[in-house]
Amino acid sequence: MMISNSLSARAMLVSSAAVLTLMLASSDAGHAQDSGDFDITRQIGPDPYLPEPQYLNLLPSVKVAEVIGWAEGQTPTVAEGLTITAYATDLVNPRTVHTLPNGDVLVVQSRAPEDKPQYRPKDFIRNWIMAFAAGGGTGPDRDTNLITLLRDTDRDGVVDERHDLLTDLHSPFGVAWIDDTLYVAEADEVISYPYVLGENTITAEPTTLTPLPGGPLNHHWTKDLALSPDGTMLYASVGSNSNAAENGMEAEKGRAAIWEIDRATGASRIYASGLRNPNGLTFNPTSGQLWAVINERDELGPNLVPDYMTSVQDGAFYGWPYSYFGDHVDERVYPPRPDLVAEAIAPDYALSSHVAALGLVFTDGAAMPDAYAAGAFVGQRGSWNRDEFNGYKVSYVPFTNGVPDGMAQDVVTGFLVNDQARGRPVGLGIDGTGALLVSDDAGNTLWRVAAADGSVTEAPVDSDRITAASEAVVEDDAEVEAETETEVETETETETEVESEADEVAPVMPEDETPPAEPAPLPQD
Amino acid sequence: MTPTRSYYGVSSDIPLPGLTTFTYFSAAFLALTLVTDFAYMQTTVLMWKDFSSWLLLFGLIAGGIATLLWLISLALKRHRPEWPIVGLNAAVLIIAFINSLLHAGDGWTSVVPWGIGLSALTCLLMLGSAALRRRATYNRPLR
Repeated sequence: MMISNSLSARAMLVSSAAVLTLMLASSDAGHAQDSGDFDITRQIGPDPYLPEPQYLNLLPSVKVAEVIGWAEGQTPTVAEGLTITAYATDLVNPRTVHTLPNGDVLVVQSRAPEDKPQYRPKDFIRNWIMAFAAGGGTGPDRDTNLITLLRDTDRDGVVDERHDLLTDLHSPFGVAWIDDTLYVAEADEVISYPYVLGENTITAEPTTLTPLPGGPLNHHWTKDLALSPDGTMLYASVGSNSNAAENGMEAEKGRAAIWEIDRATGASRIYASGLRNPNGLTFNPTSGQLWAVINERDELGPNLVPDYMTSVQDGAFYGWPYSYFGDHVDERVYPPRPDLVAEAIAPDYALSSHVAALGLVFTDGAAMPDAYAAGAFVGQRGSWNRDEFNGYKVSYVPFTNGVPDGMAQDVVTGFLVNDQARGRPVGLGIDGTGALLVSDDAGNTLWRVAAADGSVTEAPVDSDRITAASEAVVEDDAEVEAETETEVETETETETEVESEADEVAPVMPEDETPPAEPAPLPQD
Repeated sequence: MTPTRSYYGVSSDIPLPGLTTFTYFSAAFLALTLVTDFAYMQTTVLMWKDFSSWLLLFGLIAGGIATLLWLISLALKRHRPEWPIVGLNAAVLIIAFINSLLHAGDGWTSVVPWGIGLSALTCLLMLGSAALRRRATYNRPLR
């Protein structure tokens, strides 16, 4: 009797061992997808290499960089022909930078909304990892969720005045300014304040323009904002409520999308969808098209899915959650929707996997060296969900005629040293003198990257070209023509004033909007 | 009048308090995982998959406590281990742990086919363990 018992027990043990071996073997096979020697440049450009997705991840790739901050005198490293200085320090989680028509720079600082519900055991583990990656260290969190104004009155690239314009906001991210009105995208709505350029405080109560999808979950909470070239519409990004729809599609209503909001009425519609976590909304001055950087999904292997930047077409569906880069189906999402996958379009330019692209700014009209004269800077906060680090830098992608044309080049690096993060680049902007601003939400610093030859103030001013592009777009739209003309005139006046104030140096900022945008937690992942 | 048969041969065979309870709790959690996995497969409602994740976690916690109590009683020499049963139970916990990692994945492919497959395998091994336990108990030689 005991003999047969042992036999049957042994048989069961052997069979279970066989199953385990099979699983581990297939899991290993999947891991062949990546690893250290993978050439990430294969995933940069309009037609990225996409390995087979790896659905069986017993232990998803995770490599988290400890945040150690910047020691006195340390800075990121910049490419030849550039110089970098700290524009502002002692910020608290700076996310986006936005330059006003008079050259004042707004720095939006924020932290994720609190009390996010936890649905699965995994959520607790994930939050713990994310907190580690965000840094912060010991001690009580400093107050954030504020907008700070930085003023460089003599336009020498050094901040002369600093004022906290707004405080106690609800996880703000995107901002836009037009017609003496400052729009702020908080975690669950777009609000507006009356604000005249040059003021140092805002005491008025905000007005809600449009509610946006918010909590309690609000997984990707950063709502970025951009103003249409004709000044009539706001575009707000709304990230998804999950990695790959694992909270159900009912949690995704109105999300993973870019909303178009009528500035006059607050009426809104979905402008484009299937964009998992869009940020960095900004208009290309050459083509007049809306662009954004998008964080794609995780846990399909270290080299899927590449984050990307793309022009955002009206009414387009970009795949999330059902597919990526066109018709590459994500089988995790069930039931599948082949009808939607058939509609999904591929984005314009992949940036490689898990770089966490959150900032985007076009260099047209900025006072950068010729090598960066007409393209886009892309801020990449850096990976944690990959077995080798990727991102942690600002890249430059050259454009021709409003379309990406060429390989991305490293411009600002040195955020990651010996697998420790001194900082993490997030939002980008062009300051009032035409230099690049890089917000560093882990290093709590705003960096200024300028041409090394000191030609900053003598750089050509391309705001005319930007205005021309805006007018061209406006002309296309007969319905709003009259209204827009008025606004364009207003903008011109503003620019004239600024020019007279500013010695011989003309402002480089396009109109009112230079919205860059950025990042957040997560996940981004 | 007189008790005809005691479940345990001698008093030292009586398990440590809690060992039996936690063993059964663990078995119940892990068996229910198969039910909730099946419900997810049928409905595609992700709530069921989340239930499975929690059931696996609590099954492992209860199983872990039971293991601890068992090791203590082993150290106290309160029983002689039935190694085939021990092996099966260990396999159950190991597979449930792997299943828990699998269930931490997102969406359909974390359950179908491997997740629910492992849940079913866990149940089969627990059945085998129970059968062996039953035989061992009733075939125990009288002392």
